Amino acid sequence: MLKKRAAILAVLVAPIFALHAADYIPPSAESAADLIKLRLATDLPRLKQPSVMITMFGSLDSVKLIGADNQNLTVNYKEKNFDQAWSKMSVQDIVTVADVCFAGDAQGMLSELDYTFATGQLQRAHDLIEEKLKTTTDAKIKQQLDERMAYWKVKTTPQHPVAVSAASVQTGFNGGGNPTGVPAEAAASSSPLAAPAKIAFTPSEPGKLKPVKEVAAALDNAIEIDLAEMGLRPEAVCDDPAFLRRSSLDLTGQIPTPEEVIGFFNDNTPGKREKKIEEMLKRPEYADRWATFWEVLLVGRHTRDNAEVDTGELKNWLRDEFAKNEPYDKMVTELLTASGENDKNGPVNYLSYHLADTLPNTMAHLSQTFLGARIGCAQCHDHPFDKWTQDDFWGFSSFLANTRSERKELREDPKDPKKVTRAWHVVTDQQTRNGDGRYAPPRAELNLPPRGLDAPVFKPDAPAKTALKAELKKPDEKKPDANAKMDKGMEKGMDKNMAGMGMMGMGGSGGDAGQMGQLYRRGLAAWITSEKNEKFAQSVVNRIWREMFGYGLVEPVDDIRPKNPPSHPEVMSILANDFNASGRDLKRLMAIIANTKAYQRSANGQGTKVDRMKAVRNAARAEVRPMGPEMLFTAIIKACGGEEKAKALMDGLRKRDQADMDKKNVAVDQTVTDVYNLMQRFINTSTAEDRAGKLQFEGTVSQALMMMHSDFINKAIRDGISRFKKKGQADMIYIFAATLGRPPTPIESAAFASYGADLEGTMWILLNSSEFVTIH
Amino acid sequence: MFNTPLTRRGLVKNSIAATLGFMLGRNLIPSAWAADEKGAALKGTGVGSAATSDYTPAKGKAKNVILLWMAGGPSHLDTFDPKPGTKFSGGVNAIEAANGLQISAKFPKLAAQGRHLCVLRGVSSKEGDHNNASHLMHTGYREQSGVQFPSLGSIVCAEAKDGPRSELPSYVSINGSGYGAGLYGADYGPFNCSAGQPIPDLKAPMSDVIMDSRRDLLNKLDSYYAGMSGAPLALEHRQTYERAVKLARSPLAKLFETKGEEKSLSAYGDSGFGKACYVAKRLISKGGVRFVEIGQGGWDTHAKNDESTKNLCTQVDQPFARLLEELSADGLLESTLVVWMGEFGRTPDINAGGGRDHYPRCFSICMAGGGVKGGQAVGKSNASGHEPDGKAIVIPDFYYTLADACGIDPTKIRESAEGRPIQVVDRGAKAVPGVFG
Repeated sequence: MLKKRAAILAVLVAPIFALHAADYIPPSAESAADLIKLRLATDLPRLKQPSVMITMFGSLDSVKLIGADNQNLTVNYKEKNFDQAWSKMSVQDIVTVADVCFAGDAQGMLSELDYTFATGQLQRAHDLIEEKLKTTTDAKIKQQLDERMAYWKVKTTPQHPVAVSAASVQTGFNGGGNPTGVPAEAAASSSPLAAPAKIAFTPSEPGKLKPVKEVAAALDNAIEIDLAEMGLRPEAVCDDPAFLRRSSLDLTGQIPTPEEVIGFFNDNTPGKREKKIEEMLKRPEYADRWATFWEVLLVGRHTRDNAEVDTGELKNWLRDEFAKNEPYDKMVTELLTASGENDKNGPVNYLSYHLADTLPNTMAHLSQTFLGARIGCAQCHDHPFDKWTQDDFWGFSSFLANTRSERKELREDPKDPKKVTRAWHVVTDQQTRNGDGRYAPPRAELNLPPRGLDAPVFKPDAPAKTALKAELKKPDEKKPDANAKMDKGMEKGMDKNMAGMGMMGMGGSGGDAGQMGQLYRRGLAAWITSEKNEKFAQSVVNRIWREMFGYGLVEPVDDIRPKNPPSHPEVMSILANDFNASGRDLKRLMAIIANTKAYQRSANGQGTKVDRMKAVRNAARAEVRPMGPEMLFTAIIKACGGEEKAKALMDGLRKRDQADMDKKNVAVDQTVTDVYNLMQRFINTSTAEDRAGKLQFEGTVSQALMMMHSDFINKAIRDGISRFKKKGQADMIYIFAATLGRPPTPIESAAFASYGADLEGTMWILLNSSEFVTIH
Repeated sequence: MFNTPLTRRGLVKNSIAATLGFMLGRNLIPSAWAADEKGAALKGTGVGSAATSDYTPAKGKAKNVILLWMAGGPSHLDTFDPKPGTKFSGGVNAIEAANGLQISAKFPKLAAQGRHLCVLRGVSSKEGDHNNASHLMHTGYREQSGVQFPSLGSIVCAEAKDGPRSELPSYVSINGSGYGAGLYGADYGPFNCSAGQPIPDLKAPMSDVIMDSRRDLLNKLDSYYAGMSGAPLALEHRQTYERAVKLARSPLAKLFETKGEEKSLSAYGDSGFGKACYVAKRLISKGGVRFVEIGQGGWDTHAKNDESTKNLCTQVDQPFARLLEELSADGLLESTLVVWMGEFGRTPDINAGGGRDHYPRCFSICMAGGGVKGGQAVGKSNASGHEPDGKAIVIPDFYYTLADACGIDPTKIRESAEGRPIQVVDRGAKAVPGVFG
């Protein structure tokens, strides 16, 4: 039985490709027929549980729509209304149903009919119906045919041309497609949805946080109202494979395992996406993924031979902070106030790196990063596009004018006394603000007392001084280096200074101003992280939103100002408020975003280029985004080597950073070193914009060569295939699930078979596909 | 067409045939995206394009461009606009490069090629941050939300009337990383490489036959994906792969390597910059490459300016001079524009650490070849070098002049991803007078 069908299918498919035989390599070891046999052998066991099969290919809605009769594989719909059931299915689903029916040799006439329509053969379908109507006497079938005819007439009116359906079938490559059942192009071109009614929403308050789902619903409500006003129709929510892969990459930086993919689809419990999000946020990989994001944001991408910044130290500190989900304001405060040696104390690296350049550049970076304010231009002249004046800039800069990053060196090699054995930077608070041109304003009158933007002049108050004094007496055990420099002498100096503090401004009244610099930095951190400073929360909300959507609520992401408002102002305000109320809980912020329909929308859909961009920019559809190099290399390792190898890689990278940190020779696995070196090369071949973290990794020729030719990739593939074989899982479905997080569509299976692609070739193709290297 | 008997199997066959046949026949670019992209971005939209423009082609003859990118921002006073004897001089003396053209005495070899040099002085911008200024100088535009402006290299390659000249990438960036192609798409993005080094992973570890078979299927599957999401990223991904394969199979790829070329190379001096200049010249003269950007960092001299610039000038002097000399001897200088610039200038005042800080208000650019009139300075700075003397040369005007030099219509309009019309050079720009004599 099986063999017979396989042979039939092989015969059906082979001639199509024979037409193009000249262009292709004829299947060698495994003929097309053999491959189709393979496919049937792997597919059919699953077809015996057709609800799983349909779920695998289908959309959210169709999970509930389609059950099946195991015996003859006819399609049953839970909903009695026939048209309604079809209309909820995507064209891809229809094709899949037809495929299931044919493969199972079931009576599938109606499916055939729909398949014919779906593939755009309007004339053919008409003929088919007419033919059937002529010969059918059964009233029930006649009625069904009439119903079907009426339904497809609606589908084939000018707004929904059949050609569109054909295109959708072809493009239904994502395994799910559009669960509305309306061809995507029609969805994009049809009129926008009517604005939903406004949902009453009482925002979170400290101690009285709203459930995550409720906040997400309020965001969706606000977005949908905005979209209706803009005349934009949102795309449907994406299918399970797309959701799982997207959220997994966004939240943990990793693709899901095949087991996870299959398990997730078979899970029919309500709220499974919400639970998945919660679970992913608890994984250790969450900390790795976001530590990388912040490392790049804070200091850019650097190699390790750089004294100004110890990336290993910084990254491991970030990892710890994210793993513990420390409040964001606490993290920023540490970055701005930490002192000491940068190869011994993670947070010191932000200022050790930037202050090694100039004070104005540091302030420009700091305000862009933490406040979304571009004040840099005001360094030399009043800001041409914003309200900031030169006084604002230099007043703000005074907060750090007493802080320095200085290079230190050790030469302890007895054989080579000139050799630098250790080079690092130390961040300290200094006597005076002047002394080095890199810190001084261009004119003396710009030597202003420290002051936040739109804020009064800062004066350290008595409690702050008392607190610092107490700390100096009893250094913080958790971070001994941070206060190492604050010895007894400095403490005395502070007493001296405190007398005249009110009018000092510059901290230059003759006493030891080291602690004054620390007080200023604490003042700066307190002002930046204050709830009154709306931009603090807005800025981080906008950055996380952008990282998860590909486009910020405000763009450019670091240019938040009244004349550059968010695409959805209410979303910004709800999220910023909730973030503050939650005590700056980053995981909660991400959970809320990931739970919105807006985040879960499909990346597919048609429309003109301009409409598409408009939809992306207003969160009406998901964008296809490039993976960063860290994500991509981890994904390759995980797809080929499985979860254990991915875990080993992450452990290895953590160890590598640790080794760097302690300057000890911790044994690091060669694979980890290889991956690390390749990653560096990958980064080095990117365009200048990519390296600055501004644009997308659009991919370069060098990167393509590495992905196609390198030993690294081809060895990973070979190892992967032999691993799959050992586990008895060397089939197309498993390989697709391991790479793309979804099973192949029937068309893909047929295409691979017709090319006679072996498993290695299949894996190579999938790893090099656009779908693999993107988040979508 | 549909004569097959109406059996289910016949139907399956027809349906699959129709579907797959459609895929294969159309090379699997299913949607309007592909046409859309090409129509709008590559051919230019009809909006105000060359047909209605009142642009008159200037005297530029450049078919190739070499950009010597001085990352960090070199001081004009230490290079092409010396002010000897003033407190701003940084201890730099002047040397005569041509009648009436004085450049830094730290450029003795370049001075000997002075007849080719056209120095722009009193160039001025408002961008004092490395990233923002580098963007401006690489694209002619300030960074703006939502628009990815193409870089000079991409403009030169995409707007070239005769298309790609070889299998090598048209736009090569050596020892640095060139700016991207923005709205032109990845086809016109830079190929980044290290001077003189073999290209890593160039050779495929499988036969061409197997590679082609895989690639063929990959292309088909990927164009589905691109069509489905409409994401430019997916389409560009494929184009990049095709360029990579062309490069891997080209015998010209060996032009990137300098192994065995030590003798010819020695005239360029023993530095990374020298190697890069040598490779650039070969890529242009023998490789069909159209645009080469060479990065030379280290110009961000906030401290110890004198010492650093002395070294930097020495590193740049010989290769730059030799490049002009060889291009000229080969008769290629007329058709090859060489541009030397950084993202901004540096303060005339020396800071307390003996350094110079960022200074976009007044700086210099040096051009040679491509039909520009050599042996002259265009524009000037005031006595201290703080301000342009007279009319400043602004960056859009400089870009208009670059377009002029390459025979590209600066007023031509392309469409951004959002459908915004973007001129090759910002609106309102005018040519810098006198550059072409």
